[in-house]
Amino acid sequence: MNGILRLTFRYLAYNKLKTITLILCVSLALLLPVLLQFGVVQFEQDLLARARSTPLIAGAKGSRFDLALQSMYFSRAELEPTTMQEVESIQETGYALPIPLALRFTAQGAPLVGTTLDYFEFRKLEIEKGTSLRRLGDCVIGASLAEKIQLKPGDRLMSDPLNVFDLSGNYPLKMRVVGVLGKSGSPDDDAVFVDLKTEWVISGIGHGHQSINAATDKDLVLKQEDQRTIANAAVPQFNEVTEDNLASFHFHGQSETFPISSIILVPADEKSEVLLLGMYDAENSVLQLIRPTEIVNELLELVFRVKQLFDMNTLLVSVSVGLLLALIFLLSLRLRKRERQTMFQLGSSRSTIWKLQLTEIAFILGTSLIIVFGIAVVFRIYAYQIMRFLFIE
Amino acid sequence: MMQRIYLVIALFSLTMLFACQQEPQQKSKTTTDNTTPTVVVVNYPLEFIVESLVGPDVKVLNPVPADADPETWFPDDAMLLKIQQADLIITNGADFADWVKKLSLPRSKVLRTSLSLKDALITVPDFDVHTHGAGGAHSHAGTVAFFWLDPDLMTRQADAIAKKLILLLPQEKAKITANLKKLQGSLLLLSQKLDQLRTNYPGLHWFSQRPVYQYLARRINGTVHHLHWEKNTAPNESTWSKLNTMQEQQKIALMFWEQRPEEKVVKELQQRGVASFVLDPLTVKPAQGDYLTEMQRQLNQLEAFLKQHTSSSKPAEK
Amino acid sequence: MIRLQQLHFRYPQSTFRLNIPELEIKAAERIAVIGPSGCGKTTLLNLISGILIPDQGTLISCGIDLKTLNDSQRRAYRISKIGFVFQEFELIDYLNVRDNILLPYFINGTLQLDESVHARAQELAASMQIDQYFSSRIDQISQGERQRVAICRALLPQPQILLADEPTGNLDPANKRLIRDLLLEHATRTNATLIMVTHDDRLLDQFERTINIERFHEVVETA
Repeated sequence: MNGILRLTFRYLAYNKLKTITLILCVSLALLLPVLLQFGVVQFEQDLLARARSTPLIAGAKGSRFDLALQSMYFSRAELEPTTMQEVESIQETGYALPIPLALRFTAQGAPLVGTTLDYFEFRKLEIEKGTSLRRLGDCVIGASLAEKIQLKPGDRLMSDPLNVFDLSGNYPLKMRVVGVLGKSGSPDDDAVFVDLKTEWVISGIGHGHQSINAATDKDLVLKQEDQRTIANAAVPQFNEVTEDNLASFHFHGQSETFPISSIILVPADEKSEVLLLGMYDAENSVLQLIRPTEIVNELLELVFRVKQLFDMNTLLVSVSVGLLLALIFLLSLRLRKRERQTMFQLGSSRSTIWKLQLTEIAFILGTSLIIVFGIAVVFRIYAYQIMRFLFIE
Repeated sequence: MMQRIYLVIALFSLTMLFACQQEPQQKSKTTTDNTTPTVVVVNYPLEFIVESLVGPDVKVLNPVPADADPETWFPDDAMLLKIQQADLIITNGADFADWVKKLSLPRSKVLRTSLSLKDALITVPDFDVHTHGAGGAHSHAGTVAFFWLDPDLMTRQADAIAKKLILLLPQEKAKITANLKKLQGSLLLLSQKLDQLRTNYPGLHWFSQRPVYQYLARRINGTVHHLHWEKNTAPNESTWSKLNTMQEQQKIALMFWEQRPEEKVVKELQQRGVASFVLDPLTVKPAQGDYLTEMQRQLNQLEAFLKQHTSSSKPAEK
Repeated sequence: MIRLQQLHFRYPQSTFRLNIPELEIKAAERIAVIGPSGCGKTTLLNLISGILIPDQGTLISCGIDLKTLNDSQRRAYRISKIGFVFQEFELIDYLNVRDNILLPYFINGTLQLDESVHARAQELAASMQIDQYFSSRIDQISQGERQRVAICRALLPQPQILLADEPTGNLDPANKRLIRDLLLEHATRTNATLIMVTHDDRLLDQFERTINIERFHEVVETA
């Protein structure tokens, strides 16, 4: 091996702690801005991808950000509900396909999304195991969630009560897992999907209960009227939909009045989109319509402003690390003065002696760059999973 | 030393190779070679309309077996899958078919015909008397679902269905339009018959077990009084007593049945001065004929029946 | 052979003067250089090795007038002709014994490191009884062993002139004689000229000639 390289490696190996420390310092100083940049780019890509694939969102007037984020990412936010009547109204115009979303509940901490089968087609979600939603009480879960809580088709999943301390007004439902979605690299991977009607059962608008036999269920009979057996408050409501009790489930009221959280709108064409936006632009309009890309771009602007602060900080850190490295190098030069003199006396040229000193720096920088490159490549490949792990799990 | 470096580089490269994340596979949808679109309907009248409009150009699927009640029938998994995969699902609306409320359907493919009749829907305040919870018995308002008993409303249903079918089969627009006109012509004849009944027998009052005939009643300027009698459950003292009260108040002498009741009930009613008439709402396909011929036949029979019993069917003068 | 004539040397901004009218060292001669501290012993060695250039006079070594050489040529002369042994050993602490011996071959591209050099290094180390420490670090061997490593390093390129600047200065009496004898032995064996600076009169008996450099040294008061 080249003498200079040999001597450099020997020197660095002899001063392992110093070498490793220097490599780590340089690597970290270089890695931070690189990872930050990748993280921000990935974040931007994910946000924009989701936003671009969601043409319009309609919801009750209020925070546009909450509406966008909850509808696209199922984040927890207290959205004012709207009703199915708005869905019908939009559908009647023929300007867009409305896909209602009901997002009030969770199941084992994961967002519970009440929607229709159109959502799966819209988001291009495929069933990897089992089947799609079939009947009341069914649920389909995202790939990552299935892995995390170890559920598969045929298992049961209980919805979470809204308020653990308030047992009245809570209707947790034991849902039947009928399918697991394929990985989509989106928030859909972490959600539980139910039919809108199932969500209404969970919210108490619909329910099922056992039929009362006046002869045998005397404790449950309030009174007998004509051909009707009137039950008292003790009659239990089903917390699970089965083949046997499905027929007993029913809803109270007109479905147009039932609540939903928001509506994804898929306009028929650009003209329809403009017409829709115009329709709901009035002051007295009940709904607000938002373009998710606009909301996300506003959010990203904020992120970039914060990133600029981080960039400034990173620059200062890099400068200070650079200065420290320079100081260490100068001290090292001073310490190795005799070594250089000896080598000169032994016949080495001054350029060779300086090459030796500089190869040490080159090795440290080179190794740091390789480490940074390696980590950056791995991060780039697994950026989505890492961001999920850091920010979601 | 150099060997160790090469080994490290080789290992690193291998790690990168296996670390390469594959993009989530976008499975291409396998579309079945289905040149004939499938249209699912929830009851016979809708089946009749679709067949009248497009005939063999679509596969009309009325999944309810002949011996089942379309209001309460529920599909098995195999049928459910067929329904979900249909190109168009035409529902009646007004909670007619229980399975529509309890199955997951692609909303974009569902046509709820009641939406085209919003201005004409009849909501009955005591549609269903329901009992559960601390409140005891309470009633729910509900919309009567049997629109097709008024041919004018059926015409509007047909119109809404035709529009949807034209979107599904744009190349058949002319044919569908022509068929619609023909169907509407046939329905007009029925409508004219009802006009006759309206003219000849204004202000009729009659009983029914449950809210079914409201649209027919409105069409002929009549009034239906539903008794909330459970299907296949014999009336008891209390229910007869209620009937008597209503009968005395309204001087009702007629009762329309969806299907032939037990003879003893008919006799009991007769003794109380109430004549029975079976008017099949045609939710399932008739054994003979079709909607038009059966409705015509039934209306003719109704006319004859009313001729025989009309003097006792008018309301009490107040 | 080394010949100095009318050689004058001074350090810049210093009162030190070295004036050598005539000095001749024959080839393969074994010379001891003595004198008090600061009189120019090391300076003489540096002049002979080409590290320093005389201000005036001639310095011919191995037939080469060193004053006529440029930096690169003097370095080439030093690599090929001179072997240096230092008082403080000047070994590299991050290299093991083997690599210290081979150091001249690492830092001079003109010296070819091949199997024969490795064999020679092994031989030299064996003759110095330090071959068992080949893989040891410098801090793991004694002072005497370190100086022997330094001698092996100086001898490995087979120099014609061996310059030893107080090589026994940091050693105990037994090692002093041992090192002196090793230097003499190897110089004799390889027919190299040995010039050894020493303070220890007890070591002078084995040398052919002793030069007292003091007579060449002058201190000039600057105005």
